[in-house]
Amino acid sequence: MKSNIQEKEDRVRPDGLSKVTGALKYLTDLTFPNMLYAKILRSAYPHAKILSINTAEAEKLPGVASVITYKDVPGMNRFGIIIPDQPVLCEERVRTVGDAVAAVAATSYEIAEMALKLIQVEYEELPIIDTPEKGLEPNAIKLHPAGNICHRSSYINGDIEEAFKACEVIVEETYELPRQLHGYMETEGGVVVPQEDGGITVYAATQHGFKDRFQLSRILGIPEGMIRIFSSPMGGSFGGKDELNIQPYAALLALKTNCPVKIHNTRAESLRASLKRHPMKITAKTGTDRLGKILAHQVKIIADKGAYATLGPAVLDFAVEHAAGPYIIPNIETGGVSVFTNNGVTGEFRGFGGNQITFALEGQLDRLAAVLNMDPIELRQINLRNATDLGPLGHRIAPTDSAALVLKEIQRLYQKSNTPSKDSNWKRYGSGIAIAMHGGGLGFGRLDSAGGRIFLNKEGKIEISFGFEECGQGLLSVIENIAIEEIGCSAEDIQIVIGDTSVVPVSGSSTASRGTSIVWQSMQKMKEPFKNKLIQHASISLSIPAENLYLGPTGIWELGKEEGPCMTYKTCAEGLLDSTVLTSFHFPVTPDAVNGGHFLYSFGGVKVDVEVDILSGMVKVMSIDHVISAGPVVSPKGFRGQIEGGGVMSLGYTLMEEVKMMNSQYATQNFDTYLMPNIVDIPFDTNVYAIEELYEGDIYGPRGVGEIGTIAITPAIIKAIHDAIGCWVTKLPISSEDILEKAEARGMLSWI
Amino acid sequence: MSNQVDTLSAESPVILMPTSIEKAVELKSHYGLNGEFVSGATLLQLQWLNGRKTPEQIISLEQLTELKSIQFDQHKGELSIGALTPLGSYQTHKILKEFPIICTALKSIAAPGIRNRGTIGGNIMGRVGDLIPFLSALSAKLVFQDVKGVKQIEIWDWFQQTSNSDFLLSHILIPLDRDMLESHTFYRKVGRRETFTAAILTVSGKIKWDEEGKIINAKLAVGGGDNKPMRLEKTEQLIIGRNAIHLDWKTIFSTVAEEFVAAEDAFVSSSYRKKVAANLIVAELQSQFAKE
Repeated sequence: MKSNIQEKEDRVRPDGLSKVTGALKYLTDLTFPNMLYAKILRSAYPHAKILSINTAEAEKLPGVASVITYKDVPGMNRFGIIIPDQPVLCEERVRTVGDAVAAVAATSYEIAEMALKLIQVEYEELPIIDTPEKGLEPNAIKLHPAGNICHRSSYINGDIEEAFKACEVIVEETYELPRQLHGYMETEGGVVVPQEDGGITVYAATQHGFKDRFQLSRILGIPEGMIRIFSSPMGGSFGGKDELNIQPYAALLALKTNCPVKIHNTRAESLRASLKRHPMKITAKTGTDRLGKILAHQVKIIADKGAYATLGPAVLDFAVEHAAGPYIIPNIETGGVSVFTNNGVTGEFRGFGGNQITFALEGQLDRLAAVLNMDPIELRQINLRNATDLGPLGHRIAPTDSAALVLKEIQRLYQKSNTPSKDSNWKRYGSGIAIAMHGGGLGFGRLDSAGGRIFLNKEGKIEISFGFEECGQGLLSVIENIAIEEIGCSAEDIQIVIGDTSVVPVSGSSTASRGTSIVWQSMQKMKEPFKNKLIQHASISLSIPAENLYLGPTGIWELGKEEGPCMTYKTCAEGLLDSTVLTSFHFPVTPDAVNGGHFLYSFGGVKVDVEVDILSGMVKVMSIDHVISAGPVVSPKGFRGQIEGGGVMSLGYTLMEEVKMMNSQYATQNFDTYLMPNIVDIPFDTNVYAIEELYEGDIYGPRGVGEIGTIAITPAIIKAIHDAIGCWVTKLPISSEDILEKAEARGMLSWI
Repeated sequence: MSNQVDTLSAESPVILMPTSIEKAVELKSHYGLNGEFVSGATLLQLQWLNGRKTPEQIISLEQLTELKSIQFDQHKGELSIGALTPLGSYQTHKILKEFPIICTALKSIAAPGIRNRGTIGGNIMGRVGDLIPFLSALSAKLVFQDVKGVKQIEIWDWFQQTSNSDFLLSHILIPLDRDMLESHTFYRKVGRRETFTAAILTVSGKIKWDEEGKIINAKLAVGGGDNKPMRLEKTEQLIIGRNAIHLDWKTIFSTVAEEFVAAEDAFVSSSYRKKVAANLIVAELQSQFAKE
């Protein structure tokens, strides 16, 4: 495993030891006196009318403290980050098997489980819509009052009809992408503790504590100020815990019983109720002139929204925005529609629509290169954006030459490809490359508040707070490393406070590759005022000119005096009344009013080698090289972890992961049939190369890398398979059955 | 209320831990259907979780150390494996390490943590394990014991009978030729990922031939996952007696594909399983006999 990233300090991440030893307490590990355990009754059918709900028998069961239905929701019986269209507890209709109908709090999970079986729900089944296409049929049953279209999004520039007429080569293909499970280690769960004032304290993982507070306040009908959210640490999220999950049920039951209530989904419950990545069908038609210049690109996206919206509209907008990726295409028409179905709810997932659309875009480039008989890198070079070109929606973006830098590095790696030159009897080998561009932040038109706070606390620690969560991504390391770098103190001087809405400032969500970016930008804004406050205090107290003082390990130092600080942080804290510096700003955004358009982008490229077994059609990825351009690396181990981990997540997406649904019921219920890559599926030969230089004049610093490592790997694997056996795969996850048929059709097996 | 709550909790079975085979089979005879032999409990755990009835009495075999021994009888050419030998023993046991094909088969089952607890006997007695077709191809024999005494039976014959769980599997006997030059043994597992996954299929075989290249014996078996383990008897007949250079690959392929009664589920089709099994068998035979 190679990398060009220098480990400057080799710091252990702040949460490293406790995670490795297992000592760390997740929120689902918490227990409280008199705590009750709750279970949620989910719909028996993917689509049905509820005729009646009878909880009498369940309530009589000894050990049951409370059974709730929609009648027990005092506020708005809906949730959803963008459009609150999902019932907390369904009233007269269920739209997916993940829908909640009732919930029980009892003295044990076993009793709660038994009580669920005693709840009698009378349903009248309704016809199901199990594909988006069916949802679009004119006579389709309406899943929501406004119909089955959750969202439409489009971008048009130029005249594609005319442009296609001028094309020498046109390729058209439909790409199909599956429903992926986040597969976090810790399933959704937590405890809600009622407070004496009628409020609640929520200990449950989420990617945005303040948003949960807002949504819960709406559901419970109590002011936000009466709700305190502990949202961190969490055992993985990847977007999956961004939306509310178990919090409303635990909160309603806690308030009703006046006892702490715990819910912790089993894996099977999690699979049934959680969000998934949007399955999409993307049809792309792309044409070039004789030399490979793309003249026209037409893209149609149809996304399976499942039953409710959550962040789906934004995911579709993101896919539409990235349809042209890092290429300059003069005539483009992208149209997307996200359609309600009775399948499981789809929503936010690392990559956020970028994975799906880039699979189609890079697939088109590779097919064009094949038809044009052209080197795939050269074709990309011809069409690649220049540093000051407009963004993919024709909007202004922070100038960047990263696309070209990444492609150049990928070219170098591609040229020294280590594919075995001679195929063995039943194995075929190939290499492939792909590149990607990925917007960070929420995009134009979205409230994207950022900010942080720093002060010297009573214990003499430099307390740094952000309204972010640690979901395993390494945020604590990022904060620590940036603080040490910008302030000059040591790791021991810092106390990081995150994940508690009662004490942290508003920083926005821990999503959209925005964390690192915001921490760095906040520190740029806060460091000088903070340093000045401390230095001024020391200067006056010690009668030393302020210009001779600086912040260092353990305290404030005087220039030229190396033996120790002239004032420790502890002493400084005792004398300095107010050292607090707060910052609040909007995430950098394009000045052009384009819906969802991003301003800061990161870039990534991947080169892979694969082995195809032509006896079984099985594909094995033999090596992965990542090239990432996202500004300076803040936290070397964290950076590599994000990129390698992101790559593995998409390797699974490409090769094996699919939450299969049949007639809107889950065909897979657990990790015995939902397969994710394990260590043997991952190439040891995985390398991460960072391009750390930012474009001249770029003032935005390091970008987050939570997502960029997941994007380009899929099309690179597909290209490598093409290189190995000469066939294109259009549907994910790759089916070994399909590969085998292709191998047979090409006469690779002499006995068939 | 708390007392009532206790009566509602799930019933826990009694765990009995006999220290001799005699005691174990006696307990089984005593409790009949209410008692169940349990070794590593890796497969049973999964089945209990998925609704299989937990027995009132679990007869744990863990203390029967005599069933963990492995011996190779040079004279008879027979490997004897104690039923309680952990699946992971291929990594540590000196004798097992000398038989790479057995190690390959064991290594393909589950994951390291499970192989530490799961046993070879348990894999067989669960009746769905990957070892059944493999050991059938090797003509292994099973040694059973009950209160009345000891009996031996060919694994394939045992598998075709209805299960009688009163018997305790004590040993597996595998005939192994010392002269490996004129035989080829193979085992291949195909899963939806590289490891720790139910098999899409397994193929196993043992082929023996004479100096002229005439195949004098062949045992071929398929199974794995939801496929019922089966011997490919038509394919065996097709190749026995033939000279290796006259093998008709197309016919072998189609015979295997036709003969294999392959499972079908939401993830993998039956026809795919048939084709892959046939491909693997043809490729294994070609690796020995095909003249390029």
